[in-house]
Amino acid sequence: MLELKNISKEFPGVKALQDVSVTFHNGEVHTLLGENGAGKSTLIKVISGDYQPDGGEIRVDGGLVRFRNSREAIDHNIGYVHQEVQVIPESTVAENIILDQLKNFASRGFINWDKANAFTQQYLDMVELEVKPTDVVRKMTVAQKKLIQIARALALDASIIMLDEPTASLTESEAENLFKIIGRLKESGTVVIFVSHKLEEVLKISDRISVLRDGELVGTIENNNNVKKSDLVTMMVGREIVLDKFMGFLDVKKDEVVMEVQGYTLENNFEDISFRLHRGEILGFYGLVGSGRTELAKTILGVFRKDAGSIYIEGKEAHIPHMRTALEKYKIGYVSENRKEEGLILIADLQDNIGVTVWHRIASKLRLIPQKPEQDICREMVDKLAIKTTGIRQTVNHLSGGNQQKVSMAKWLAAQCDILIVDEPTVGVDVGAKEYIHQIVWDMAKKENKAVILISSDMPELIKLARRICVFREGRIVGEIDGLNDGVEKTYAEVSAVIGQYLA
Amino acid sequence: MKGRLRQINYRQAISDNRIFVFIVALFVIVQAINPGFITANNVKIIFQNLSIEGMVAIGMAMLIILGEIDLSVGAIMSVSCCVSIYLQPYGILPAILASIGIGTLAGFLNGALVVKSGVSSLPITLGTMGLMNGIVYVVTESQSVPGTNKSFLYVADTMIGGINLVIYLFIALVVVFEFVLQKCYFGRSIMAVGGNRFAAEYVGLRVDRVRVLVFTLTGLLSSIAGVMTAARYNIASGHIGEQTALAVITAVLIGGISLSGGEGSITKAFFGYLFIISLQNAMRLLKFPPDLSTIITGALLIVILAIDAVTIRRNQFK
Amino acid sequence: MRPLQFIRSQTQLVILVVVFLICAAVVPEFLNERTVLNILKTVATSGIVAIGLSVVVIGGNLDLSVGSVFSLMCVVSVKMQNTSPWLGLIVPIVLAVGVGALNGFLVTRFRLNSIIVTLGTMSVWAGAALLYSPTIMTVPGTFYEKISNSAFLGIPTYVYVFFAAAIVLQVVLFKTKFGRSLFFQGVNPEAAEIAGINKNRSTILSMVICSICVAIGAILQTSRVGSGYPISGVGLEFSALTAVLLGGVSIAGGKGSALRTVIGVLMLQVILTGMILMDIKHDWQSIVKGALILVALTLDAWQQRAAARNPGGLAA
Repeated sequence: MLELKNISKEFPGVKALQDVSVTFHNGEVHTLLGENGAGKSTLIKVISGDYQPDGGEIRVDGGLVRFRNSREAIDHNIGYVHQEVQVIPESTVAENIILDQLKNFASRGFINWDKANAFTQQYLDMVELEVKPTDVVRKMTVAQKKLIQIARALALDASIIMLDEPTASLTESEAENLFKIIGRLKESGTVVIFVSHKLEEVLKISDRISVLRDGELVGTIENNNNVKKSDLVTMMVGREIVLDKFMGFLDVKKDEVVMEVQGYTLENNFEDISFRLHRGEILGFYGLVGSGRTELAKTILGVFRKDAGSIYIEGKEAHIPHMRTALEKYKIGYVSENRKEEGLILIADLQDNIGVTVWHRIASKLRLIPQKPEQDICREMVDKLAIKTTGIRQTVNHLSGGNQQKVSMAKWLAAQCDILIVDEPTVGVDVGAKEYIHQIVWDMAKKENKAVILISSDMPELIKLARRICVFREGRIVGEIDGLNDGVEKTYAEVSAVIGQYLA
Repeated sequence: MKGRLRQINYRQAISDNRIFVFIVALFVIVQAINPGFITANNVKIIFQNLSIEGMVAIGMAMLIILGEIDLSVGAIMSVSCCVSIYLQPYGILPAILASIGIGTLAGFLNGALVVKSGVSSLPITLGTMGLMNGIVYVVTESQSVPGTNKSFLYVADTMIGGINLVIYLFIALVVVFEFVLQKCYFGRSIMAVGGNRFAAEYVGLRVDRVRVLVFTLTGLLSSIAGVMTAARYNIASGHIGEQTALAVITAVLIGGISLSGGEGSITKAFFGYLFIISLQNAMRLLKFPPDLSTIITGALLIVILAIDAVTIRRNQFK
Repeated sequence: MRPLQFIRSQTQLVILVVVFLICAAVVPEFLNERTVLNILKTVATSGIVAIGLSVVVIGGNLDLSVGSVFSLMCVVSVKMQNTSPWLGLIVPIVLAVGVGALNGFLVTRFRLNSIIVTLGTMSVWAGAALLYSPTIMTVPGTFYEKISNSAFLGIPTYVYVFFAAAIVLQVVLFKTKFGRSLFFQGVNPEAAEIAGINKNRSTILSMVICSICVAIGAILQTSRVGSGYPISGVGLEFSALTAVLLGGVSIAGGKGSALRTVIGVLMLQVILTGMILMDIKHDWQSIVKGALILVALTLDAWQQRAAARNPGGLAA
């Protein structure tokens, strides 16, 4: 049993956790819910030893514990499966799985590989992963790597296991298998702490749900049959939000094919991809993490060199050797899924981040960049996207996730592209900003007549916004759904069933 | 970037501009110990020493803001100095042009190698440094070779209004480069690339071109410094520029420019370098043994790095 | 193993043999026993430094101060020997632990780039060496001369020390927990961090090992030559790094081995000896070293890039 009593944690300028008390019982699946910034990840890191609480206490089975670092938590049998895929690619499966407990296999500093491999095989069987302990991890799929990560936590024989968004890269059947494993852990009395933002899944497997908001615990509820998604959302956001709002009808110019891709292939990433994109359309790319959609987008942009295929922009064959060509010649923009590493210059201010795309337009003959036009455009974007900031001189690093994403999108709006590829725009964005960003994407197609490719692994989001959805699986398009948002309302259930079929 | 927030964060402001605090502190303290420090003559000496290597600091500042580094700047300086000495018999102007040409080319090679190979600039410029130093030693046969054309010295000794021409040149370069950095497309591209190379690439900035260009400009500046060194001392030797890389890097960092790039200004680098030279001058005045001086410069670098690592500027939690 | 595979996996060894043969062909004196012996002798002292450095590089760091530390250890060792031979042995090693620990501390505690930090400490120790002993000092005879003169099978003892050290480090790198952790750390510091590997301890330990190797090298050098210069280590960091890179250690970390570095050291010395025998002026050595570093770096980068060009999310 794990008890958290009056846990507080403060960072410079931010109260991440205030007086949070939760009890996790043996043999229960206890889910933590909350928007980003609500304190969920901070709480997990307090349990895992990565952070030390400023106030409050942690008790394991009644005894007071204090973890000075994550190593100590591991030694106390707390397993933590991180959200990011964390494996060491250069090493073998066995090395990855016994990583936390090397000393159990080492005598006087030397490692007993026979023992390690046998040990590893046990856990590989448990997660139903068909690889050999001696295989090198580097060449494995994202899903396999994730399962290795999970096996590693299981191998600790932990009494407390924390899973942070474990199903993000798993297929339905792999996720089902994971739930079975969780069920078995429950039976053996393990404390299972689950973190997910997929409300359907949360309602499916949780025994109890604790919701955090703005660093405080809103409440812990029993998951009985009366709990609905909207209840959870209300708890998370603090106000009623209409989920899956009907956006209206998209006016797609069916006879204006803005982009046509034929037979695009990049070995080990995607194969034989063909699609058409029309003006005024939102085309969705649905697939799990690792299904090749981002790589496809980047190949279209010229980041990676394709092995085969051709692309036509406005009817003419296009050659895109470099990102700059994509932007300047063909007016294709890309809102990256990884805003911190690819989309934003974190130490720079809003003016620099948004202005960067307009420099070449407003630069004078002397290559001088006049302040006023740049600032005007930036202010315009800030207003248009309702970015919460103290001014265009504020450092982007200090903005919340949602606002950062808005800045990332703002610069592409300022760039005046005709075609936009938007990649996972609402990952790590709180529910309120999420609605706003959906509206931005919608308006891009509806009001500004741009062509948008929306890459997302959030089914409700795609169904809400897209006109057509291409379903990706392991690098291929396995199906397409047409006729959404075109005048006839379809239910979420109908559409997701079709998608599920394609992925089965 | 010096951002002006609505509410001024005082701690941040002082941290960003700490170089001014350091300089004032240095001057006050040293003056108290030895009043000969702040005299017209000594200040002139400080600026004389400053003006040549200071040009290299301008280039290094741009490089560090870009997120790169160049250990071979001293070597480029040495090569240029060497070329101008050896080509003196052919006339002053050809000698100067050739030196600057070669130095700029060296800078370009650095840039091309770094960009094309994809290897970090640190080990690459370590290699080019050895290469170029080696060339100088070979050509000079490890001797100090004096120049033959005495009129070359006039280049450095010309005075306008009692102040050396070289000082004017240096100040002019500082002003020009600062202007370009802060106001022009090229300069702002440097900041953007230094801030996040990928993001800059995605918005269509010519990242590779900017990088190569900055290395080339640094080569240019180092070669001008080399020519001025030749003009002032009229000697070519493999030892010239030995300490330059270390001194200039320390100067830029002390001025408050972060090694991770994306922010800074030439002014800060200037004051950082002023600090280092003043410190060395002070140590000479106070009769410190020269080896102690080296130790202190090295230790200073480490201390500055440590302070940087601990300051608020490092946003650890977002 | 098929020949092509063999060449691929043992590239460095093959190159060494090829280089040796080329030199032997160009300069007949090369195959002389004396030449080979000379190579081994020179390699012994600078080679120990190189293998120590390679441990650091595998961990993802760099230590530019090895040259200055070498100078310092030389003069310290000599001065101590004047008091007592044992002090001349112990003091440098103890000092080395301190130096290495300092480097490691600065890098880990403040999370600084090891290159810049050691650029600073390089200056500090260089000055310290000069302050401690402004001129050359000589070693009184006896104890050390005996060691440096003793030989087994015609090869001086200290050469064996070098090879022994290489084997010890090889075992440490590949068989111990510390060694394996170092490789992880070099290749993917974040993953290593999360795995609970104590990166700080590994980094500090790797730097201490490096400094100790430098100290041992200095001790061997001073016993062999009979004196210590305060600037004897100038440029050593450059040579050591060249040897390390030639030995196939990746500058990015995570790849390499002590034995490979030995090959790198031999390769470098063979080339330099060849140059000397061909009457090429000493000054050209620096140029050659610089060129070799660039070549080694480019090859290494080429290999790394080939891997990165294809993200391969689906590679099964």
